[in-house]
Amino acid sequence: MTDHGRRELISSWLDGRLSAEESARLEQDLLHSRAARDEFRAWADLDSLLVQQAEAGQNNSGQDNSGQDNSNNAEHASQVAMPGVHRPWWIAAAAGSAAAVIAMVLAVWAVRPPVERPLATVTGTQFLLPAEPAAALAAGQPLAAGRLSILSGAVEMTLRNGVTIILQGPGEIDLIDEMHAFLDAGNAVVRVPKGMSGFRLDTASTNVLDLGTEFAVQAGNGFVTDVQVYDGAVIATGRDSRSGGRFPKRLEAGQAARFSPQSFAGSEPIPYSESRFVRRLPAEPGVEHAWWRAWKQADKERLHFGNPRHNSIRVARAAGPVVVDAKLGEWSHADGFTGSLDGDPADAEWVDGRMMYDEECLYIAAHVGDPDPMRNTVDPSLDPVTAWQGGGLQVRISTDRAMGWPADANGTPYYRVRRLEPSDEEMAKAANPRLSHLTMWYHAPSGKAAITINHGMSFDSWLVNPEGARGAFALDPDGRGYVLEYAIPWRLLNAAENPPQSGDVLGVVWQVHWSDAAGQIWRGQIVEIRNPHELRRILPFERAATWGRAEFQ
Amino acid sequence: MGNADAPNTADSSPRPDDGPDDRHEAFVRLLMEHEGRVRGFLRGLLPSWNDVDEVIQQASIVAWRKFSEFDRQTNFGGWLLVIARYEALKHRRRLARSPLVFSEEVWELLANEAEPAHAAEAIDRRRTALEHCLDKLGAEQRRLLLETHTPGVRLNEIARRAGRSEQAFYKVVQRLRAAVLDCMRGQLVPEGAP
Repeated sequence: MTDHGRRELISSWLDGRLSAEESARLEQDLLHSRAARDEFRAWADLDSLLVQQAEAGQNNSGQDNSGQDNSNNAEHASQVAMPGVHRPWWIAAAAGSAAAVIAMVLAVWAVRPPVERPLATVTGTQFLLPAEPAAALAAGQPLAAGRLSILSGAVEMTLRNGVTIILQGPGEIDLIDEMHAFLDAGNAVVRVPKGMSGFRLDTASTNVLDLGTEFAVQAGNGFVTDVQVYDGAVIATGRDSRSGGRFPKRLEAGQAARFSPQSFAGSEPIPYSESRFVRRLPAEPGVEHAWWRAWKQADKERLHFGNPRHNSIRVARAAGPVVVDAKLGEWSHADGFTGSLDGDPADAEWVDGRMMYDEECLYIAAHVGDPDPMRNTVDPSLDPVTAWQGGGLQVRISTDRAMGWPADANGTPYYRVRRLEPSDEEMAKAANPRLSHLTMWYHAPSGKAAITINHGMSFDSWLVNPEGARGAFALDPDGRGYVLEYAIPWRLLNAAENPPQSGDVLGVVWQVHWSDAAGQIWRGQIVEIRNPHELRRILPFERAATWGRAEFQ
Repeated sequence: MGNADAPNTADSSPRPDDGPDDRHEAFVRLLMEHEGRVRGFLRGLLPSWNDVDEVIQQASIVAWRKFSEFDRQTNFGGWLLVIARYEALKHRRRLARSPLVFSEEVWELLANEAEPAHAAEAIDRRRTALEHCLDKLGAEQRRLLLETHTPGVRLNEIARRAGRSEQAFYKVVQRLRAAVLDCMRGQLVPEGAP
C-alpha cells in the first residue's frame, strides 16, 4: 500500500468515513506492518491534539484574552479536555460527597458544546415501547447520534437533511450521522428526499447504499439481512463470511433480496412484499382503546408480561372426529378458559380458549375479540419469526410426559439477556424437542391460515406450514372478532410415539396478540395459563417453568 | 529528561491521612490532569469520539471506586490508562459488529504499542510541536482546521458555508492535516539527530 493510500484510509477511519471493505484493507495493513501502526497512531494523536486545541480555542475565546502561552502546562491540558467548565467552580464543588464527585464527573462530560441542530427529530410514533423506560419518545423530541432501541411499536425519525427512517420494534438502530446509520436488529424503512442520494444503512452483514429511493431493511437472526426497494434503487453489498468477498448487488423498485453470511452467492432473490414493512405512520396517533390508555397509566409491565388470571386449562378428549372449519360444533364439552385484558366484559380484546386431544392430534380453538381481526400481513415464508406481531395466537406446550409439570428449560435468550452462562445440562434441557412453540395466524394477503412450529428453547429453526397441520379462521358477523381452529398431529410435536394421556399434567401457556389495523405493528397481548409460582417479569418464551398446567382429561 | 511513568510526587496525590473531602479533590485534580492523555490513547483504539467519551466516563467511575486502592507511589496517569484500556476492550466487544472496529489481534497490537507513546511528557512535546506547526499555517487555514475538529461541528456544514462540496472540502482538510503532521515530525526529531 502506498503511503498516500495508507494515510487516506487512516484519516477516513478516524472520520468514520470508511466502508467495511476499506476498513478490512486497513486492518490487514495494520496487522502486518509496524510502520502502518506507527502512522495510524500518529494520525490518531493528531486528531486528539487538534480536538483539544479546538476546545481550548473555544474556552479561551470566552474566558481568557491574556494571550498567555500555557501550552506546556499540565493544568492547561486538563482545561482543554473539559470544555465549557470553569475550573474554580469545579474544584470548589468537589468538596462534596463521593456521589457528588461522580455526579460532577458525569456532569462535566455532559456540558460539551451542543450540536447546533439535533441529528434527528422524532416525527411520529405508534404503539411505541422504548427499551429504556426513561427514553420515552414523543413527536418533536430531538435525537443525538447514538443508539435507539425499541421493544415494540414503531418510531419515525427525520434526520436534519430530510431523510426519514421508520424503525419497527423490536429493533435497534445506531444513528451515526445524517448520511449513515447502522441497523443492529429489526425492520427499518428509509425514505430519502427527492434529489438526494448516498444515504447508507448498514447491518452486521450488509451495506445498503441509497441511490435516491425508498427502501426497507430487515436485520434478522444469524446476520441475515433482507433488503427490499419500494422506489428508485440501492446498491446492497453483502459479505461472504468464508471468503471475505463482497457482492455488490443493484436492486430496483419492486425487487427484494436476502443477504446471508453463509451464502456463497452473497444474496438470493426473495419475493417482494408490499405490506412487509411499515412505510408510513398514520398522521393521527391511531385508535386507542380504553385498556390501552389505562395501561399507559396503570401498568406498563402488563404489555410484555401480561396479567394472567388462569393457572390451568383442561384439555378435553375429543368425543369424535374433529372437522377443522372454525365452527366449533365438536367443542361443546371442552370448557377451556375466558380472559380479557382488564377482566372487564366490555373489553374489546378478549379470548375464549379451548384445547382437545385424541390419539392423532392436539386441537386448539379460540374465539378472539379483536377490533381489527384477521389483518396479519406477515408472510410465513419470509418472516416466520415475527408472525406474532401482526396478531394471532401463540401456544407453547410441553409433550414431555417424563418431565411432567412444571416444564424445566430456559431458552438461550434467557441466559443471554441476563448475562448468565448456562451449564451443559441446562443447554441440553434447552434443546428438548418435546417443548414446542406454535404460532397461528390468518395471513390476510393470501387468505390462508398459517402456522409455524419451533422446537426446544433456542429459536433457531422453524417449521412453516408443515404438512399435516390444519387450520381455519372465520370472521365474526359484526367484524369485531374471529374464530380459529387448528389440528396439529402429535408427530409435529415430536410426540407420535408417546402422546399425552388422560391424567397427564404438562406445561402450556397462551399468548393472544393484537396488531394495528394494517396488521403490521404489534399492539399488545393477553398472557394466560401461567405458573403462579414463577416470578412475573420473565417472558414465557424464555423459561418453560413459567407455563401453566395443561390437564389432560 | 525525566521518565513520565516515574512515581508521581505531585501534591495532588492522595495521602493516607487525607480526609474524604481531600480525597475527592485529589481525585478530581488527577483526573483533570490526565484525562487529555487518556483520551488521546483511546482515540487510537476506538472509532469515534462518542466511543471515547463513553469509555472514559466509565473508566473514571471505575477509577473513583478503586481510588482507595491507588498507591500514591505509582503514577495516576498510568493507572488510569490501564483502567481505560480494560474498559475500552469491553466497549470494543459491544461494538464488535461495526465494520470500523478492528479485530482483537489488531486492537491488542495498537494498544500495546500506544501505551509507551502516551507518556505524559511525550504528549506535552507533541502538543508543543502542534502549536508551532499550527502557527505556520495561515490564519484562515488554522481556523478552518480547528473548526473541523470542534466537537459537534459538521464537516458538511462548514463546507456549505465555504461554498464548496463536502468532498472537495474534505480533501482540503486532509491536506492540511498531512502538512501539520509532517511539520510535527520535523519538530519531534530526536535530540542529537543530524
